[in-house]
Amino acid sequence: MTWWKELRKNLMTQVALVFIALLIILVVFVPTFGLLDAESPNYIVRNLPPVFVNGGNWEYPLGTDYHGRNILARVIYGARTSLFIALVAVFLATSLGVLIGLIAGFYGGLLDDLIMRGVDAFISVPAILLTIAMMTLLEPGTLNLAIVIGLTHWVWQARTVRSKILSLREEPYILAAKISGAGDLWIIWKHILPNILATITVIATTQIGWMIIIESSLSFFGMSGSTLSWGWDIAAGRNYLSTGWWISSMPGFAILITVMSFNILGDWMRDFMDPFLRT
Amino acid sequence: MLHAIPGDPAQVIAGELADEKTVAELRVKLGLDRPLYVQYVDLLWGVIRGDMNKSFNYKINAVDIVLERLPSTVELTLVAAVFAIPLSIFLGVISAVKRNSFYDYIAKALTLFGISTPSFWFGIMLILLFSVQWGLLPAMGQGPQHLPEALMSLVGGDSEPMVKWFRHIVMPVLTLSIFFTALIARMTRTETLENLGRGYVLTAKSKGLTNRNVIARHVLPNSMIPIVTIAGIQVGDLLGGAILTEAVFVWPGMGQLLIDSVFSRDYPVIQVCILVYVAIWVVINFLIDILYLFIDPRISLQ
Repeated sequence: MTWWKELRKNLMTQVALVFIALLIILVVFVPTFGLLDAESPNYIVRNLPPVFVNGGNWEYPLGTDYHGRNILARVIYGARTSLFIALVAVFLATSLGVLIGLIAGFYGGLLDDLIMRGVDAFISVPAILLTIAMMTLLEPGTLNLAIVIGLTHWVWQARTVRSKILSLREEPYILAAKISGAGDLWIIWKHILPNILATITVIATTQIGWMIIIESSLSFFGMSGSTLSWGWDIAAGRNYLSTGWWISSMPGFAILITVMSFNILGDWMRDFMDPFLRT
Repeated sequence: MLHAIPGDPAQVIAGELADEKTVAELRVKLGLDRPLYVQYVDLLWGVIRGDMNKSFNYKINAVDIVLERLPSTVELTLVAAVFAIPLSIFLGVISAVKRNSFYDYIAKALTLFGISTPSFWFGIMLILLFSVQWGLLPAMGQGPQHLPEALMSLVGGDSEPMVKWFRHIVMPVLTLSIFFTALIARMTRTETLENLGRGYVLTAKSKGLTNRNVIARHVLPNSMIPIVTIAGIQVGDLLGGAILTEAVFVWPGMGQLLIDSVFSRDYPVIQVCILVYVAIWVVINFLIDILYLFIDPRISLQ
């Protein structure tokens, strides 16, 4: 496993990977076993600072918010919301993008032209606008948000897959396969997909981080279905900047570290697997 | 394209309205029970004529409201772009030239931070630090000054409006441009590194050109082509990001208006807002295409 050896050389990526693993464990286990409570208000302890500031205590390591809720708990539950939405959205965006890119690249010709026009039209509108516009039509909801984000971010995958296929198409072994009578689907499955798998994975990983930021941006406005979300907590904490700066800061740090980890991971994957992507 | 894109959200929004409105008479009065294409033509016609799209909330023309807010958004976005573009390219080039140096290391860390941080949170942290904690900068609003007047005062010898303008705009601009700067800096670094490794660099150096000359005349223009493409798309994202920044700093621009309208379901305003955003985007794209003419000598007017 050469990737293991490569990974061991890069400390930052190892740290990032460990963090992500930790996050996933927390997100899966804490809500399931109800280890921490993110919802019940407790006005006696409202606006407590984190443990490293005067007045904090270990029962509420990251402090409490204006309702007296445990911020650490809210951060973990918020992670669940964000990760869920990001993963669903990336899955949707990747599937859609790869499918479209595949069709455009493999079959070429008129279909390709049409699809590329569609792509151009799509990226004409800044994605955030399109996302907001679409969210106004649907009821606010976690799944809806995930779907909308997924539907507005397929372009990157589509374009990359398409150009990769365009260059692969002329390879001798593809032509040979065609001559020997192989069906299109078989060629795609056996030859093309393995080649583009690495690229797709790199893009998908990097997109997870971006989706998390988009989700939190929309939650900031209250457009996601869930009030238990990082963006929403940041927005809600704005009223308390002078008295309780941790209410807004902590979820933000969580976003920062999470997205950084995914970005580091994505960068490393790209450097290792596929020099084709250079951004 | 301008017609196709807003057609999608605008038409569907208008269509959804027909489903959601519970008061039937209101529907008829607002003309919402007419076929969609009629409504859409009406929208465009109203925008052109300037008097037909009555906002639901404000009881005045949606177009007027949006246009009133437009300058603030344009000012913010423009200043951010003018600030971020040269800075990011500069940072990227230096980073590539001094590869793996201490400077490069810092730059890589900062740009990683820049692309990973949610801009609205960054803005709030800036407010926390500079307004709440240190009391140096105003936390909200655009303030009384707009750039044109501030510049004119500066020319006339009075620097106070300029200072006021700066104090109000500096945090929003930083917030808006952080992602853009980080992304473009990274890209520039990668592209420049690519180009530095190419054969023509060695040739140029052996011709006796200084490092700086080589970079300016050969490497930079070559790197610019993909960068201009990405930067163009990112400027569009600056427009989108302005919505967030305006919300954080209560900046009186179109972004705030859009968000408020979305929540109050003020459909005419939403439609006009999106229309204007897309129009700006089209203009920007056009300018970028013109920019290509200057950068890539292989492209010519047709």
